[in-house]
Amino acid sequence: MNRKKIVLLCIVACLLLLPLWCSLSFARDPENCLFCHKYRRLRGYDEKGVLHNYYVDAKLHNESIHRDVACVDCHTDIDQVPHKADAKKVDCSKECHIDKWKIMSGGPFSHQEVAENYRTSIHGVKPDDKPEVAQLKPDCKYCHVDDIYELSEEVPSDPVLKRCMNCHKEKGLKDIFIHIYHRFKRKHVRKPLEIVELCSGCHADKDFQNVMGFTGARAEVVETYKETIHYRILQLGGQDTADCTNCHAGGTIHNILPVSDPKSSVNPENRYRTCQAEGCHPGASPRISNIDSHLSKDKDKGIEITIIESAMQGVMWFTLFFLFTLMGMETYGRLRNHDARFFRWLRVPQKFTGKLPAGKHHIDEIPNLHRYVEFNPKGDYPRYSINIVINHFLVGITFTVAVATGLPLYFHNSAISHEVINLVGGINVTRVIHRFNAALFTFNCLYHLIVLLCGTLKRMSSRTFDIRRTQFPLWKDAKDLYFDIRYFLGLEKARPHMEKFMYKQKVHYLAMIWGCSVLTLSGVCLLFPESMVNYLPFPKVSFNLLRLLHADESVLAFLVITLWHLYNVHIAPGRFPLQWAFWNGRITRDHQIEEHYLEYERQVAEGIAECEEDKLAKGGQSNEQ
Amino acid sequence: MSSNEKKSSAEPFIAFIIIIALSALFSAYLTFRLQFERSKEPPEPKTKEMSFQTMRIKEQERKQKHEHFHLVTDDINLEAWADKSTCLICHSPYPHGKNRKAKAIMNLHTEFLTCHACHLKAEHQEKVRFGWVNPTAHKPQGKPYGTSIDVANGLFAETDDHYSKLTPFIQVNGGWKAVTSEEGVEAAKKYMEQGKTYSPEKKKEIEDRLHQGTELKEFIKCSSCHSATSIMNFKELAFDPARINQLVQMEIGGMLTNYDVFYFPQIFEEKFK
Repeated sequence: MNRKKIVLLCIVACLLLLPLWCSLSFARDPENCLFCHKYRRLRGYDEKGVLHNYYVDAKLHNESIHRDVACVDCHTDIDQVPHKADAKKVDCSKECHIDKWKIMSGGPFSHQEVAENYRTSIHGVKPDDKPEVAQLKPDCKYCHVDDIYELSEEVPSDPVLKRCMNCHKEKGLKDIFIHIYHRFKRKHVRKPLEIVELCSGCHADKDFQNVMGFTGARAEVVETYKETIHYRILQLGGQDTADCTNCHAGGTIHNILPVSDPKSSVNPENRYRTCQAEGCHPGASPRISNIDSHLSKDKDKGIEITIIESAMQGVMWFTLFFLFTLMGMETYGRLRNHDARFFRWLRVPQKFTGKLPAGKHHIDEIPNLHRYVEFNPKGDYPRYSINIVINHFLVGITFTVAVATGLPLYFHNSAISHEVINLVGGINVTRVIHRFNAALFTFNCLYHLIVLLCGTLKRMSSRTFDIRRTQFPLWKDAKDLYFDIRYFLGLEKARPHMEKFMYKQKVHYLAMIWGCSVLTLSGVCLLFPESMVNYLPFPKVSFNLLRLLHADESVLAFLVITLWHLYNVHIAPGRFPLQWAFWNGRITRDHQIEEHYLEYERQVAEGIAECEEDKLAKGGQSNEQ
Repeated sequence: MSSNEKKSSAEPFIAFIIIIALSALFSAYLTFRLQFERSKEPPEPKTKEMSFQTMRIKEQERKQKHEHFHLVTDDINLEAWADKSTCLICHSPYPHGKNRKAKAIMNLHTEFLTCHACHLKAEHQEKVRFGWVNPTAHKPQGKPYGTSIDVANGLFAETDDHYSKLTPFIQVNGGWKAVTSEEGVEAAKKYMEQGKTYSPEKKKEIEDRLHQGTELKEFIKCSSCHSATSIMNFKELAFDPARINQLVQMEIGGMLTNYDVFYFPQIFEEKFK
């Protein structure tokens, strides 16, 4: 063979291999299927009016995980062009020919094992499935699209890979290493919210549920999951909590089994292992299966919890109703009886025109004494110790932070919640802040208890303890409430003589005790579910109930504080815009006399306060400031 | 005096009733209604108002997203022309369905050609030229999509012009006027909304009016464009030489016309199996 012939042969060979080279340098498309399929609108309706899409976005396909697979490796029935219109569905368990894979197995690649695994799962079509049910069961491509191969996000400089490369120098090993490595980090390529959306595509679809015969809790799985803390965290931008597959897919992602199956990851016998997996709840014990992981406020969750929840709603309604009624009454009554103007700095003491015989104590002889006395806006009489002022500060801060970081989780569907979470620095930061804040809140509760205990012991030892000067509710408080309402309605001439803590403060304080106890206990349950479920009696009821109560109680506390507390200390007539008791622990004279007359009397007896009636009897209208 | 006293005793009672009622209602709202509001899904973001057919396609795509394995990007052109073509108010952007083997191939042209590029009225067919029309206010920097080949990957070159389509220009009063069928959009929308209530005669009358400027049978064949004697001057229409070469030498038209089956050579099977 002469040189000329060899050159000619080489040129012919190059020309023959050119199309092959061209296709290999882009995507594996030796048959040039993209000649037609690269067009976006290569679509058409069939006889049944179903639109079929034959388009392959070549750029995306070139970056996809299947970019090395030739079209005919999957679409095996196509052997001619133009091919028949009724091409068969792709069977993913067929073998395909990827050079890279040969490095690992020496043979062709196949999804056969996965497909077999899937067939035995709850989603696989069974021989006794009715045709309409079989049709609804998802095939591979229902969940999988031709995912983009994310090479750059991994760690090619990993020292383990370098050691492998010492011996295994074959091209493609790095890709395989990265492929395996990323499975250690993530169970699936999709983000958790995308998984939820994927599963919801069928499980939240009413038509689907009707065909499948899903009723009751089974028909509400998506709705109930969306009420869990897992979903709320995902919805607000978190990534490291459980989506559907984390619990239901068990070890290998494709073998999702019915709960009744002993091998199922969510079977009550196996559930604790599932909770332990992936480092979510490492200390989970078998008792964790008592926790209802699809617990929802709005759905059926057992008669005991429903009754208590309804009772809680009743309590909430009654509490709000009671407080709103009092607020309305007080506003109406105090303005009607001319006890106060709205702005406290506009209050002018009335001129006392009555006659009182001089030379004796006249305490308790002027029914509406508070109308005639002057006051120092910053406070006249001591009311709270420095410890209580600190307690109040800490409650104010921790409550505000708890609301800002907790309520967005409760109202997770609201756009404002997303804004707040972003402002705080993302859901993970929010969760840390909320927990740290809860610790501070609990510390404050303990601090307050110590202050109370020490104060009580001190008074007891000096024999000055008087239960009437404490927050302890007494029968007199009920009578005070009754007569106060009568006064507001104009049926009494003056307000009743009340103790240092009147009925309003006692209701508020009792609510605080209840709220702090419930929020702390339920908060601990939410934070340490795997431990707390071991200690609580009847966890199936108590634990699930406490989890619901955390949110219920938070909302109630939020409403009470924002509406009731705000009203009483800031916007009630005569109290606007604020009082200084929160800062210096002192109460103004008119306020003390109006609402805590008995305390005023005691302070007069103790020499802390002057007798205002005597001053009026002597004709002295004003007090020295 | 006595009437005043009577009035003053009734007033607190009325106030009491009003306060109780308002408190009960407001408490009930906060206790029960608030929970209902909370469980509501966030509202869907508002989308651009689209024609019936475009919305239908979007909805179909949403439902069928699990039917298509290969990743796809959004069809910008679809939205750009949704309200700019009378035809697309009633007809799908995939309108050809009769020819089973060629329907998808015919449909793919709707991304690049207006309906009148093929369905031009007979009297204009003799004297026609083609040009690009962009129906949006967006002024792209690049050439229309599909006119250039990216040598790096053999695919269409990236461009910011996914809006323009080729449309016929006809002579009107000595000048050239683009045929885009925008003028009947509102009438077509009304027909789509109220057509079901019309009598068959009225329906036919409106349909005839809407089809006035349209030849229902396409006037060009594959080879009218995809041949060396193309009725389109691809060079003038900003096509790259490499792309022109592809377009005028396309044998797909011939294959479809004659349905000559071409079996994949065994060389590929031998290589990979």
